[in-house]
Amino acid sequence: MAHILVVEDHPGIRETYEMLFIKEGHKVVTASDGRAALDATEEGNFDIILLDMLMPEMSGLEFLRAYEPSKHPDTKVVVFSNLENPEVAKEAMLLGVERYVRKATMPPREMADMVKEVLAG
Amino acid sequence: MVEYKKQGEGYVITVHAKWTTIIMPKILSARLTKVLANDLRELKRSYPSASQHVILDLRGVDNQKYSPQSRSVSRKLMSEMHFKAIAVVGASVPMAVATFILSSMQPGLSVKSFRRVKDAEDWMSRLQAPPSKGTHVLPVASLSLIAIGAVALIGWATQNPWLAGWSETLRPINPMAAVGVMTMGIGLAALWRGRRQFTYGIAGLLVLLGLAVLFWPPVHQLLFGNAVASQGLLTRTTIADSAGINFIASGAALVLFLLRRHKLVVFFYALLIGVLLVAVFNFFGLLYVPQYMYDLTNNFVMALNLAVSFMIMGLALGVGYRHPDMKTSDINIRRAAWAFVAGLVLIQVATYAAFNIAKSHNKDISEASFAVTVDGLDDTVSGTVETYRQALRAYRGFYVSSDNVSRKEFASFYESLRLEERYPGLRVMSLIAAVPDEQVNAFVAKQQNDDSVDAISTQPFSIKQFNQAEDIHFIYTLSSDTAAYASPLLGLDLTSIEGRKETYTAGLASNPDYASGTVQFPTSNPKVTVPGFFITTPVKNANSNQPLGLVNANFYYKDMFAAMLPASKTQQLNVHVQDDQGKSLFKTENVQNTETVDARFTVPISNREWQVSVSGPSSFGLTAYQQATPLVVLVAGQLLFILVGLIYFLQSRAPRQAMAMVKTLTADLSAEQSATADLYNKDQAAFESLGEGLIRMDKRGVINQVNPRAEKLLGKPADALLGHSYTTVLTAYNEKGNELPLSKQPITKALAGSRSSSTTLYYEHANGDRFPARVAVSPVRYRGKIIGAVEVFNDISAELQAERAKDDFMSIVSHQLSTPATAVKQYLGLILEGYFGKVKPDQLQMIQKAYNYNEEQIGIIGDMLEFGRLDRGAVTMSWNTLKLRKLVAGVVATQSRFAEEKNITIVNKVPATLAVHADERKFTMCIVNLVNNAIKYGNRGGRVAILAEQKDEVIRIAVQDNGNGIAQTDIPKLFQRFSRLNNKHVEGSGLGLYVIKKIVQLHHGKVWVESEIGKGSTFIIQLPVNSNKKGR
Repeated sequence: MAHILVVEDHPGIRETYEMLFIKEGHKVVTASDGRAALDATEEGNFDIILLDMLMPEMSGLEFLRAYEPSKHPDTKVVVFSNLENPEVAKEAMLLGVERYVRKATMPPREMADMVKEVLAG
Repeated sequence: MVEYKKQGEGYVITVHAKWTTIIMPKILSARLTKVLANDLRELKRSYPSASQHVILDLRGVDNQKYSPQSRSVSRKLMSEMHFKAIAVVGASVPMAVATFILSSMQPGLSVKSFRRVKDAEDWMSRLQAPPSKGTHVLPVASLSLIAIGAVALIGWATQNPWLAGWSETLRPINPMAAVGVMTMGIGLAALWRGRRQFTYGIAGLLVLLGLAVLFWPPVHQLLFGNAVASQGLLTRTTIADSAGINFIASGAALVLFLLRRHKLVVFFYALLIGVLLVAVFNFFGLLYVPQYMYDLTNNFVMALNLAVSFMIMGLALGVGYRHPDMKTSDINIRRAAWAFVAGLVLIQVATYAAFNIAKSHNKDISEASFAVTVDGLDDTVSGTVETYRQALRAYRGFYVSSDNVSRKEFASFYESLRLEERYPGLRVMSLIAAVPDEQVNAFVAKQQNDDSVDAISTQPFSIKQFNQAEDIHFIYTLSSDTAAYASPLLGLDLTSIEGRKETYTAGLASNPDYASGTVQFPTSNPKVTVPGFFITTPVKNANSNQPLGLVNANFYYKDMFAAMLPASKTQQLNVHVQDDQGKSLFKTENVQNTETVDARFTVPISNREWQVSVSGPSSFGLTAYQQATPLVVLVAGQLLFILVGLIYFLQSRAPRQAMAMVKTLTADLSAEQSATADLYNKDQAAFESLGEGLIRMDKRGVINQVNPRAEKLLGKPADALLGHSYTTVLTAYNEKGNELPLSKQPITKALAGSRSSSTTLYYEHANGDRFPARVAVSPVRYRGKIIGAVEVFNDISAELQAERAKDDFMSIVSHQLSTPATAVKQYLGLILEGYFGKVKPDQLQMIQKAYNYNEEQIGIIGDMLEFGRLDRGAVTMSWNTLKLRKLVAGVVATQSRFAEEKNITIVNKVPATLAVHADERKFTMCIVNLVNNAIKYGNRGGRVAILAEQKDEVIRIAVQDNGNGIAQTDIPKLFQRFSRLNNKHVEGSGLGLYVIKKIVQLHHGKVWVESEIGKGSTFIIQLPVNSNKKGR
């Protein structure tokens, strides 16, 4: 069982991921934008953060810039986004992101497997 | 040796080892010119050296049939071919024209015209052979002259008249002239050796020698002349004036030979012709009519060997001058018609002068001759008269010694006088006895007693017409005219005849004699009298000194003057003799001539005088040759005039025709020019109204033209731009706002010769605003050299804005679409993957379909996003080495769900060893698209195969289906944007293949399709093995 933070502005996608990971037996916290996600990371420690990029208020990139990985040494960040911008991807990787996946191409099972993989290290 | 030969339409190109001969066609159309031009270009490539030396054979050319276009093409060709030498062969007009045009076209090009191909070939081979010293005529002539001079000098030294004159009878060469001949020889040698200064010096010496001969008479005999003359063997050793003139002419011709000015060529030839004419005239004159030569004028005659020397000199100069090696130019375009006119006038003036000199010379001769003749006549007449008188005196003496002369004695005396023989013209001699009146009877008795009378006369002596009133009767007593004895004359008392008494009385008183006036002598016919006169002289008795009578000599004028002035002496003369009363006594009219010479002299006859007037023609005493000389001079002058005129005419004909051609060419040029101007004006108009900014610079980058649009874009008036370097008025910035270094500016690159480039950069408007500009700069080349650059630019702010807006829109739309599609995918996925328990199979099937369609939508959105990025070039490649089989397997896994639906089998036949260098995501997208298409267009239950192979440096990946195939006509449309084929059963954006093509191109590869209707299609991607390294 892992502690997962899903950061996603679209309620449908947020809900399906929340349901998927709960079904997979994880403990899930959701946030609808970067600001809420930052607040959530203040409150608790997560094993993995699934981060969307394009979000209102605070985008995924802005979150990553504000996020302090040193405070959460055990937390892994995976970007799942439909934004295919190499610049953005590059910066995200530099900011400590484990993986950058296109969520539109990933069916639920694949996503669950990917998370398992990341958590396993 | 022919290297190559090409027979074209009417023209023949023959390449020899060192040159190319082109026989030009009769008619040259614009099209044929182009064909010929291509042949020549080809020739230049194959025979670069031989093609630079061209013999242009224009002999068959019809100049009228060469089109202006052909001339235009020819001009262009000329500048391309880089000819070194052109020999033009042909008739005068095209040759002159071509020579003129060719030589004016390309500075440094050697152009010469020839009449014969052989000459042209000789020139060509000489041109490329080591330089020779040209004609052998000059050295041979030089040696000949020096030899003639030397032989003549030896002749003088050894007193050998043959060596000195080649003839013992003709005038020998003057030693000084011999030195002059040797000098001419040295001059020719110097000319041949190209020693200009030396030749000028020699020419000066010759002119000085000639001038000295003509104007300083002692020079005639200078040096050894007198010595030669004093030898006695050789006479007439002065240098003739004609030789002096020829020395001057030879010297002047040498100078003109060296100067070789077109304007002076006619003088050169005139001098040569003059020298030759004088020499030939002397030569033939001396050989065939030497007397005529000496008669003509002694000063004109030169020595035979001198004449030969001048002939050699004239011929050598003429031949040498024509020899190609001695020429510097062959284009005989003359502009100095005035020089010819002056020459012609000079010839006329000289002819007139020579004519007058010859005429006055003739007049001098004629007058002298006339004077001599008249003197002779005077002597003849006076002498004859004197002999008559002497005869009369002898007759008188006959009586003086004897008072009583019988008739018989008289007759024998008279016979002894042989009157008719010795005194022609003496009519009769008689004795007139002066008998006092009282002695008449005794006188008659005495006469009648003269028994000698019977011998001659039967008639007794009697006094007739006795005049009784006289004291003294003059009685006709004795007569040499035997007929008189039978006539009434004998015994006639002459006092009865009017006027006689006074005459005889005066005669009797005179001493020694007395002449009568004109007397009408009776003849045997009483009605006819003959005019004449008599001289009478008194006869006195030696002892008593008593006058006995008078002896008479009677003359008929006619007979006497005919005897004194026989026709042989009065030929060509009119002689008129008058007595002191002015009465005409005798007149001959042998000559009818308006121009006459005349003279008078007086012949004293006793107490009276005759006036003799003689007149003759002005040509009196001249030989036919002498008379002809002025006319010969005149005719020769006119012939020379015509000759020189003819030379001018012939020489100027080619230039005149050339000028006509030049007019044609000028017309061509002006037509071209106006066409060019027209084009320029149109260009200018287009330039002005161009929607783009346009700036033109010279090779230094100084702006020399801007159009209004450029002024507007830059916010600067033309004045602020023109004449300024682009470096100061056209600052360029990059996207980030930094000033573009000069070396990176397109104009700099263009001026350095780099190709036209189109880039986007930023220019600053005068108000400080910067605007993005699309700039294209091209170097401007002229004849292979960069003479400047031209920049076309425009403000693309609006375009960029629209582009950005479009991109933004596309991006937003795609994202907005992809998010809900992703949500749908997740919901359906959760169900399909059983997170929410088992679903009935038919429900599951429907959910699966929904999931698939949603997947398709996601794919389209992906294409659109990719397309947008590719289209605006906003793509970065992240190269990786990808295991091809693994990559294809991944694709097959994602696509199997769709394949299953159509019961299609996907086969991955990619060998495990193959790897590609590619951008993983993009390349995968290509394979996905192709496989997806194959499934979509494939028939249900079919098969899709993915194959790959490496061949040399390329890798080919093929996706094969066994669907309906694609019509050949549709194939070209396949890879275009939005190129959905007319297949209503198939879904898709129509962007897939376009995106594939773009991506493959980014990998430096290519993609194509092989298809057959009914059998299926194969899409092939070919990538270079090192695709990431290609094209860098």
